[in-house]
Amino acid sequence: MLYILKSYPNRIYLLNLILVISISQISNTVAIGGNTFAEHFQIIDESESQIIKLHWNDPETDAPQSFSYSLTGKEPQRMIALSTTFLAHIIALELHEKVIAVDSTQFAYDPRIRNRFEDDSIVAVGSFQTMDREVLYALKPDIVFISAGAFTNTAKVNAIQNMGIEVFPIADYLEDHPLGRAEWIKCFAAIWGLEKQAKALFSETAKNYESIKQQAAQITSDQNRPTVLLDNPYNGIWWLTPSSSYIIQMIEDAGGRFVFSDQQNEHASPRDLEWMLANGADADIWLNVGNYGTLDSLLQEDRRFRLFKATETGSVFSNFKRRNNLGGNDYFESGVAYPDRILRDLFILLHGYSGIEDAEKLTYYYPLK
Amino acid sequence: MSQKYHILTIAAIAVGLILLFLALLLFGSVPLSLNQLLNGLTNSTESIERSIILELRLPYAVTAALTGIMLGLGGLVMQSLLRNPLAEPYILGLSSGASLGIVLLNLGMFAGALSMQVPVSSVVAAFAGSMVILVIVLSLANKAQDTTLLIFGLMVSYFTYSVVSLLVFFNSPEALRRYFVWSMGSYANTTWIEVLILTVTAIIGVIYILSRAKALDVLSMGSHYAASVGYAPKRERWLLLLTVALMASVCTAYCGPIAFLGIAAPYLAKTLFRTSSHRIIIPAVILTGSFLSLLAGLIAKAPWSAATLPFNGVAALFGAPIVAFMLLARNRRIL
Repeated sequence: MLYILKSYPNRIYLLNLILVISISQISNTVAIGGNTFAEHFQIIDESESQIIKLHWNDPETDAPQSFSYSLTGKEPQRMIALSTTFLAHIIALELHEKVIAVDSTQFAYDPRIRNRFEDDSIVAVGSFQTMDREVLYALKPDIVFISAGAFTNTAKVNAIQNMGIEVFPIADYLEDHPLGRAEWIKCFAAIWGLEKQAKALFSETAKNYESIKQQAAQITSDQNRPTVLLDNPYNGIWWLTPSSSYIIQMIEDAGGRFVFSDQQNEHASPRDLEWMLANGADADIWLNVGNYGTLDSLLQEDRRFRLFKATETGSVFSNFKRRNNLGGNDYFESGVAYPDRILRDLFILLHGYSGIEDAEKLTYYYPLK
Repeated sequence: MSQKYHILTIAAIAVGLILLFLALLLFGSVPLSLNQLLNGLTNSTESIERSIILELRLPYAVTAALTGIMLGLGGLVMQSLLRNPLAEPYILGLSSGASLGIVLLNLGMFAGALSMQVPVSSVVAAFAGSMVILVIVLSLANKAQDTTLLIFGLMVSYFTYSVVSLLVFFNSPEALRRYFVWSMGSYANTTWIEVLILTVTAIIGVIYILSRAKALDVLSMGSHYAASVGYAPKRERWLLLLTVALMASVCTAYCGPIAFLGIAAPYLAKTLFRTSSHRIIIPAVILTGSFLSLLAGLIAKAPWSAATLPFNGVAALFGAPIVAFMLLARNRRIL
């Protein structure tokens, strides 16, 4: 022992060992399982209970943010989901009966939620910024899910928490990978003790996703990837999709290439039609053009769209196949929990889409004719 | 002011207009040489450059010129009728009425118009909105004096914008963003169909307002005086406001609520030509309106970047100091 303490490197090692043992005895913290793709939440086993820990950087200010939720075993019975993107996880875990309010009844797609709108079991309360606290008093929710961006409104968050209501930020949209976002089902599941179901659902989604990705990798090389143009302009402004967005990741994974992949833009940046034409007129496929039924209706919006090659060849596709009359689009709802379905659609569109037969296989997309 | 001065001033603005128009064809997000521009205009071979010149830059430049003319003339007519240099199509709620029509159309609350072709439905919605406001203002303030009419119009305008804001606020964040972008104004969305409608409207407006030059001279001295020299002020006022409503509606439908030109163009014309005769001021406003609009349009195109900036974001930013300088210069008798 004396020998060990005399040697300098050994002393450092010993001190480190003592430190590690001490810390682990104080907090007794162990991360459970761990995530494969999601980076912004962790479920940690502490000495007395489990804790969900969230950490993210605010998208506006880049300031680090964090949040902890102790899993006491008391399951929330009445929840408010202030984004339709949360609904996919909630529905997949069959927790939709516990939803009592959403931000807007307009944009939810799933019939199980829409049915609850109709019998007034779910009401609309507006966005977190506009939501009235009096409404919360009346609804008496146990938990309110808000987007991580809204969580910086600390005055409102504190005011609601002082009413005894838990405000839970969801930072799924800040994940870098579509499967990272889908993995947030585990976060929702932990609150209700449904980890097993969530694990099975996510494993299936990840397995499908990886399988399509591998299939695409086998038939494409850097030279034969079809190029893809995304979105459409409004009032002369075409917001260029950020290079880190999910859809660009999925296009790459499906064996395509975003036509502006050389543009490294962290945020959506404005481009005019002139720039888009000069740099993207030759794109093979045009995706996510918006809620247009036909090519004619798209051209009626702006006849100059005909100058894009994809319009000429009829390779224009909308992701509004599953939408309701009020504007709810399932692409933005279930597509969050099941990115494998979007990837499968993209794979079909990018590799030899051949008309009606393929159109029937598509979940979210349809061709503009 | 001598005739020679007027001719020289007109010639100087006309040269400026031609240069600005050419600059709008030459500069943009994609760098083009003078040769490419000439080839694009004369050579019929299909190319991206030719499409950019003929389908994007030329309609943009023509739209800028026509909008400047129509909003400038609209401002002049309003200023003469209301005898107030701060009047413009916004003041009587014409532009805010047009905005209301467009917002209702975009929110799907104007089902009938939606079945029409997009360029026509926008105009119908904007014109219907501005006409509703015009009828309300003129009916309720029928016998009011010019100042009362002005304040009443302003209140209706504020009211209309409140309705628009609430309608958009309670819609989706996407609708809010779309409205915000639209409200900043842009010349970048017009194709040749819209340019054709703008041209026809401008021709009708210019011809009618030119034909009422003498009536405007008389009306700018007050309704009582106009009536005493044989004019029917109520009828003249109605028809002139109808023309302004039509011009403002078409401009708002295609370019958004463009501010600044309605006040700046008549003021610039009056400063340069120093006359109250509408026979001279109307052609002068046609020149100054299109000049200011082309200048702001060129800056908005931001040739150094890949984006076209919102018109209202730059028009007053560069235009207001110019007009303010002219006001100061005039007071110090430099101009």
